[in-house]
Amino acid sequence: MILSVVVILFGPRTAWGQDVPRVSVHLDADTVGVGDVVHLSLDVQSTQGPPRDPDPGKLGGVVLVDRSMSPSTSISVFNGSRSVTSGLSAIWALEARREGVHTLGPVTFLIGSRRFSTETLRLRVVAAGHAPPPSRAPPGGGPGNMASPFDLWKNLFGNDPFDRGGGGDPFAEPAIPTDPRLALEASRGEWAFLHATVDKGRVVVGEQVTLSVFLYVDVEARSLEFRDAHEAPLGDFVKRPILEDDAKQKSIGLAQVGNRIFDVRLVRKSALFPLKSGALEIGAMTLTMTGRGGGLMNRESERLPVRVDEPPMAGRPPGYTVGDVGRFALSATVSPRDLEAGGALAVTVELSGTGNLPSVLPLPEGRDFEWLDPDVRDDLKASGDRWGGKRTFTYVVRPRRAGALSLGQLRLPFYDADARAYSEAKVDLGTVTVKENPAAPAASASASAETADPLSTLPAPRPALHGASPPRGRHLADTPPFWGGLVAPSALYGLLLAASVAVRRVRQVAARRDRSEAAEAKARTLAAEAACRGEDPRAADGAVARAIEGAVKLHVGANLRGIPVDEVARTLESEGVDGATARGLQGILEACGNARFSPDADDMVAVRQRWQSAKEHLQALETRRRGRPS
Amino acid sequence: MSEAEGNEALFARGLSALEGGRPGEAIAAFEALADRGTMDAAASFDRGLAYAARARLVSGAAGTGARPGDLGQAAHAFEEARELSGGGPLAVDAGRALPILRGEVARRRARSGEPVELERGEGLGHSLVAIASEDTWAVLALVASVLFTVALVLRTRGVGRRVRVGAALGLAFAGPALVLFAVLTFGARHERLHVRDAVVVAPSARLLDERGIVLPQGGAVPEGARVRVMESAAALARIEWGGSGAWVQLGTLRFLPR
Repeated sequence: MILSVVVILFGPRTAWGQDVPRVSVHLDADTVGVGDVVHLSLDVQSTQGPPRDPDPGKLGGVVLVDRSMSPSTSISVFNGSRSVTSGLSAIWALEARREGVHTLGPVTFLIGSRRFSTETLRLRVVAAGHAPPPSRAPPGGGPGNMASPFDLWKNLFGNDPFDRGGGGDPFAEPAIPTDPRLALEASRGEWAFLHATVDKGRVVVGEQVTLSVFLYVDVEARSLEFRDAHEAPLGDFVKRPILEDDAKQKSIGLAQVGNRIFDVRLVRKSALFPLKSGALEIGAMTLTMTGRGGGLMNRESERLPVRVDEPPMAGRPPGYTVGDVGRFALSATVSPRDLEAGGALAVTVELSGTGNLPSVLPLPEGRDFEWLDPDVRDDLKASGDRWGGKRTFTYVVRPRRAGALSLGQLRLPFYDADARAYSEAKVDLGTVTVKENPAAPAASASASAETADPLSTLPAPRPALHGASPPRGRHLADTPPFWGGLVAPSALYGLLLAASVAVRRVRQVAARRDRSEAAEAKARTLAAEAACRGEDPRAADGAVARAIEGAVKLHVGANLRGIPVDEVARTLESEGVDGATARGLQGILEACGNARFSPDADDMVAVRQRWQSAKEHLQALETRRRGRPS
Repeated sequence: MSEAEGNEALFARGLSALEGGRPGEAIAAFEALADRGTMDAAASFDRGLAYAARARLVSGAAGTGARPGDLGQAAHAFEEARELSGGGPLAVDAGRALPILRGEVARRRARSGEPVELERGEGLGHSLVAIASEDTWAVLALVASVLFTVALVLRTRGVGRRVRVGAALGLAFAGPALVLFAVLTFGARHERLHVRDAVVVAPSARLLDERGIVLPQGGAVPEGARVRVMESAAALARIEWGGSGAWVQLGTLRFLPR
C-alpha cells in the first residue's frame, strides 16, 4: 500500500490529450525508523515537452543517499493526429536520520523554461526498530498509476495500460509494468550489465552496510549465458551473505533503463562490516557473458565508495572495542553452582542481537577463578536485511580456592548505530559455593613463581593524577629571528668592512690620480721656468702653453687640449673660473701660439713676461681650488 | 559532571581495579582516559603497571590472561609517563620500570628461542643530535655567532699583535663551532617536527620493504623496543632502529607524544 501520495493535474484535460503535465509523487512509507531508507518517487507525463531537472526540494530529517532518473517518450497516432508524450520517473532514496514528523518537498521539475512544483509530503520518523513493517508498492504500481476510475483492465495488466503517457489513448501500445525503483538513466552495457548499490554511504567501523548487486538483462536478449563470476574485492570489510544461495539469480522485476526494458535479477546481497576507518571502496564484481555467437563479454559492477568513521569519543565507555557495533544482549547459565575444590564448572554465555557480534567476550577478572578458552558456537544469519543471531560461548571455569565465590559480571559495551549512542549488554553470573577438598592439589606453585617474577618488583602505582604537564615553550629555532641572528652580526660587520674598504680604495685612487696630475703640472712648470731662462723663444712659448694646460687640468679639472684657443675662456668660465683669469689665460695661450708659429720669433723678454703673467693667473686658480671643499 | 571530574573518576576506577587485581578493567579505564585525549603522566604510569600486571597472569585463560603485546603496551606507557612527567620521581620510577620490562621481554624471547637484542645503538647523526636539547644547540649556535663576530671585529680593528693573534684563534674556533651548532640545531628541529618515536606493542614487528614484503634477510624488532618513525604510508611505517631503516606494519607500533 502506498501510504503518502500526491496526484496533481495541472489544469484541465482535453478530450484525447493533455496540454498540462500529469504528475504523481509519493513515498513508499509514511512511517519509518531512524536509519531506514524510504523512497520518494516522482512520475511526470507531459505533451508540452520533456520534463527534466527534477529536484526533491526540502528534505527535513532525512538525507539523500541515492537517486535514479528514467526519461521516456511515447508516440501515438489517432485518426491521423500524432501526439508525443514525454515522461520522467525519478526516485530518491532517503535515509531517515532524526525522529519526528518531517515535511518533504515540494518536488519540482522543469518543462521548457517553466518550473512546476508539487505539494509537500509528510514523513514520520520513529526510533530505530519501532517502525511498522515496510509495505512496498508493487512494481510499477502506486496511486500515480491508478488515476482512472474507469479502468477496466488494471487488474488484468497490473497497472493501467491505457493510461501510459496519460493520454487515455485506447490504441496505444500497452505499457510493460516496470519498477521505477529499479530504473536507471542509462544502460551500463549492451544486453546485460551489473549494477551495485549500498544502503548507506557513511557508517562507523563495524556498522553494517548492505551491498546489493543486480544483473540487468535486456528482455529482448536471447541465449545469454553467465559464468565466471568474480566476487567484489572487499579487503577492508567482513562479508556475510544475506541471500541463502548466491548461485540462484532471483528475478525481482522489470526496469526501464533509457528506452529499453530490462529484467532485473538480484545476484548478490551481502552484509558488509568495515574493519577500519577512512575512505574505503567496495570493489567491482565481474561476470563473463556468452552471447548466441559464442562471443565473450565481461561485465563489472560499479566500485562504490564508503566513508567510514570511528564511533564518537564522547560517551565512549571504558572497555569498548572499536568494531562492536549493533544491538546486543547477554544471557548466561552457570552449572553447577555447588562443587568441590579441584572441580570445574561450566559457564554458558549467549550473546544475541543484530550487527557485528564480537568473537571474544571481556570476562570478569579476579584471582578466584581460572577461565579456560571457550567453545564457541554460532547461529548467525540474516533476518530481513540485518545480520545477526546468537553466538554461544561455553567456558570451563576452575575455582582457585574454596568458599562462596562471586563469578562477577559480564559486561559488553557496544555502539548502537541506529540510536547513535553507546549501550552495554551485561549479565550477572552470580556466586558458586566451592567446598574444601583435602584431595585437591594445593595451588602453591604459582605463589613461588610470583616471588621470582621480576615484574613483581615494579614500582607502586600513582594514587592521583599528575596534573597537566608544563606547556612546552616555543623553541628558539622556531622563532624567525633565530636563523637570521646566527649570521646577521658577522654578515653585517662584513658588509660594513667591505663598504669601508671600498670607500678607502676609491679615495686612494682619487688621491693617486691627483698626485699624478700635480706631479705633471709641477714638471711642466719647472720645464717652463727652465725654458724661460734659455734663449729659444719658440721652445719657451711651447713650455709655457703646456704648463698652463697642466695647471688648469690640476686646478680646474678641464682638459684644454683639443679645445680651440678662442673657446678656452668660455670653457674655464663654465667651470667656475672668474672671467678676468679665464680671459687672461686665453690671451696668453693665443700669444704663445701666435709667437711659436709666426715667421719672426718673439724675443725672450716678451716670453718671460707672458710666463710671469701666466703664473699669476695660475696662482689665482690654485688659490681658488684650495678655497673649495674637497 | 565536568570532564576533569570525569577524568578523576575514571582514574580512580582504574586505580581501584589495578589494586584489586583486575588489570583488564584497569586497562579499560586508563585507555578510556587516553581515548579522551587526557595526557597525564600518572595515568600513563599506572596504565603501564596494569599492562604489566596482566602480562603476569597465566596465559591461555581466555579473556583474562596475558595478551600478546601487553609487555610492549606497558613499555609504551612507561615511556609516555617519562616523556610527560618532565623529570622528577615519576620519571625516575618509569625509567626504573623500563629495564625490568625489557628484561622480562628478553627472558621470554630467550625461552622461546628468539633473539633477545632489545636495544641497539642509534645512528651517529641521531646520537650527536641527542647529546643535548634543541634549545641548548640553539643557544650554543648564538654564542658561537657572537664570538665569531667579536673575533672578526678584533681581527680587523684591533691594535696590537696579541689582540690580532687572539682574534685569529677566535675566528678559527668560532667559525666551525657556529657551523656545527647550527647544523645540530637544524637536525634537532627536523627530528622534532618530522620524526616520531614509537614503541613496538606487538610480540614483534617484522622488517619489511616498502611494498610490505618481508625482507630476505628477515629480522624483526622485538616487543617493547623504542623506534623512530621517519614516515608512514598506508599501513606501513618506515622506522629507524639501531641506525638501520626498514618498514614495519603500522599496527605493531604505538606512538609516543611529541
